Amino acid sequence: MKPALRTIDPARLEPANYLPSLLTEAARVGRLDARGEAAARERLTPLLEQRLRRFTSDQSSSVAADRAEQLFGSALYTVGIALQRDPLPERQLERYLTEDSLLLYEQGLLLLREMLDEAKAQMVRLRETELPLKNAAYHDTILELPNFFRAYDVEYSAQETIVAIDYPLAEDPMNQVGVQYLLTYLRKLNFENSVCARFTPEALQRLTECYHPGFEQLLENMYRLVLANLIGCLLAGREPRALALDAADFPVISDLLRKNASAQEKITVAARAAFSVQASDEPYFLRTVETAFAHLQECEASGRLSAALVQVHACPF
Amino acid sequence: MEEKFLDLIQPASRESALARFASANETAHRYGLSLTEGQMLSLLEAQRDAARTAGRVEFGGGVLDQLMLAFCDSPYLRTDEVEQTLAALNVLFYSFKNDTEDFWADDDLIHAMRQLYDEDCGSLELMGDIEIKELERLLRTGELRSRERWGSEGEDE
Repeated sequence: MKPALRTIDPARLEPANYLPSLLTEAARVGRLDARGEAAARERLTPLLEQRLRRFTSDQSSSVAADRAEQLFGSALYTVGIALQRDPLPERQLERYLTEDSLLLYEQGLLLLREMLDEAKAQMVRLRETELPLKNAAYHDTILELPNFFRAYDVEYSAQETIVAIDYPLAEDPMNQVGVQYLLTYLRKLNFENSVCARFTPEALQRLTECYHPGFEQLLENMYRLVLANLIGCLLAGREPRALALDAADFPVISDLLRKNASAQEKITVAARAAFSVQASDEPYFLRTVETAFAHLQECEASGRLSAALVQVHACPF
Repeated sequence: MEEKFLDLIQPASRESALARFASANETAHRYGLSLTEGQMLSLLEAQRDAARTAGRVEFGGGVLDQLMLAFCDSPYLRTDEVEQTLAALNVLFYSFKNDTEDFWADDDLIHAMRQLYDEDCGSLELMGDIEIKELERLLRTGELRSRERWGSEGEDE
């Protein structure tokens, strides 16, 4: 009797290395035996040869190995993008094993071009809604990002990220590469900006100045600072839009974080209501609020709550 | 990560490469040159090693047939040295491909190599010593400066 097949674990699939990780995982759970895995890889031969011929305009019968690796990396990434269109890994594997690799590549290329178009639109939005923050990394990153579009080669190095992004997000898409990474980064940054923009520039400036007098040179995420103090204000019963806390608020916040088991839910709902977050971005908002809340709880438990919240009223600057 | 995938390309078109090589060998026969099937197979094997040593991935069956066709009417190619000469030319070809960063098509490079070969009276050693700048000039313009001038100061274009 054959052993029951286990399910492919999506958590083991790497966005930056999707197709190889799918095949490796399929082998690990018994969906592919050694011969099946080799045969699965061989399905790529026509695609890889086509990419090499295309790259050399059929004028060369060889390429440097590092160039070939780059071309193959690009082709694998593109096929991986096509497969990820389907949410179920089992179905992705089935598609890979039954569909023509050249067609999968073409589908992936089409999706990458769509992502590029959306990223360009996100870039326009970002420039229009850039916050008046006093932070060099924030503005330098926004200046740098358009270079991606100038340098990106969707056909031959689609997996390259080729842009220096210094400004950190509350939740960085570090496991992604290529235009997939850029698009995720832009979507999240635009969302973070839209939340921060609900506060006055004065409130944001005061928060950053009180957080650190040298904020301008820090690699610090603004949205994370805002979320922490927003949660603090909601717990302390302060006006949330001011983001202002003083020393007297800390024992109250500390007490609530320790005693109120359902506080996290309340805060999430309250924060959502306060900012009327766009429905499409809700998951990111909820995740980051929960992460910020959990961070506050950890800090409280270890007696470091003052390091996680900014005292605006007592700020000496 | 891609290494396993690079291997997919290596053995791809060995049979068609042999067929093409055999066809070129028939043409060369008119010039009194020919290889046995064993020699051709051995050269195809050596070609794979040469590509690997040069850090290159072959995907079109190689250029041995093109080298054979391009060099078979050279007055400097000796009938008893065809196999060794082709092997050496193949190594030089990969070296030049790397040195010129894959910029030139195989045909252009082979054509330039033939010019050089005749200019150097069939000396593979001299061919291998050419400065890349000079090789690129030859590829670009089709002209070759005389050997004595290579490497002299102030002779750059």
